[in-house]
Amino acid sequence: MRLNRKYYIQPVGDSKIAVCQESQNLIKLTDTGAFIFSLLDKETTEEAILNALCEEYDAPRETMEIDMREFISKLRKEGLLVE
Amino acid sequence: MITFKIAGCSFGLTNRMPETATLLADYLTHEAPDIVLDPITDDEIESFNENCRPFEREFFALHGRVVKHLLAKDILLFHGSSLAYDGKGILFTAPSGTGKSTHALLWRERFGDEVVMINDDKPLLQYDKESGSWRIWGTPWCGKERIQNNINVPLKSLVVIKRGETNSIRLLAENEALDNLLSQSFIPATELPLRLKALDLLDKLVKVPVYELSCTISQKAVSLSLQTLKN
Repeated sequence: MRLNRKYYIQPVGDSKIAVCQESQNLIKLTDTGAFIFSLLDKETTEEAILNALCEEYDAPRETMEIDMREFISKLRKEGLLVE
Repeated sequence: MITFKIAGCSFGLTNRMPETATLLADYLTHEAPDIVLDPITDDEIESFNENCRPFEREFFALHGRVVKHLLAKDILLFHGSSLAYDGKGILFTAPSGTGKSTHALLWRERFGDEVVMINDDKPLLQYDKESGSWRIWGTPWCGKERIQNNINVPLKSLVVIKRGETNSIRLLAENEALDNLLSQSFIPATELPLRLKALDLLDKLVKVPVYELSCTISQKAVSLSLQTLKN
């Protein structure tokens, strides 16, 4: 899976905003959300994302897996993913 | 051709409707324009059919053009009612119908001539890279009551107005302030470089103190928002 469009991540204050050429939407992201977004720029899998998260952040794998799956399912619902 | 100067930048335009020059009266200048705009097209005028009175169509179509040119110069259009007091600017912002103009009116009732309205609807905010500070400018696009003055002052604070049963004020965390800044600032719908530019400016604007004023229509509320100019 990967993102349906090329998104640019812009830091704004202590948040990150994803913006793209083809859509008016602005997507407000947390730090972790922005990290996942950058991974989804290229074809990847949930497993690979989870592994990358575990390398980047110091949190229990189980917690990160729950949060990541929730985030991915949100992106899927919004139609932002190509699978 | 008419030339008008907004936020320090002068624009030349061959206007098609005489009313446009009247609406821009306070901003007309004899200077040579920095930017000469192409005449407003039929399509642009048509797109404002339903949102304004017929004589304002070209004036509002012009607005979209000018705002994009200014954005490229670090000047951001913001939705809100703004005034100058003691040489400092304060911007009240909120979704339409919340009472920001009413709150500004209460300031005028209390302070009379000491308060000068900058703009009741769409002021411009200019970022100065060198000093990291903001200035707030008047514009001719100023809401139904046409309350505006062609002035500019340093921007001291932004106050998000919320209707409440009692009066209280608090400084918003950046993350909370951002939700409001994103919804009330002009971010072009297309043109990625300008969209990124607007977000870059919001990254700077969120460092200006943004308060949330939960308030009734009262002088007590004015006393609270007045404090934001004193810090």
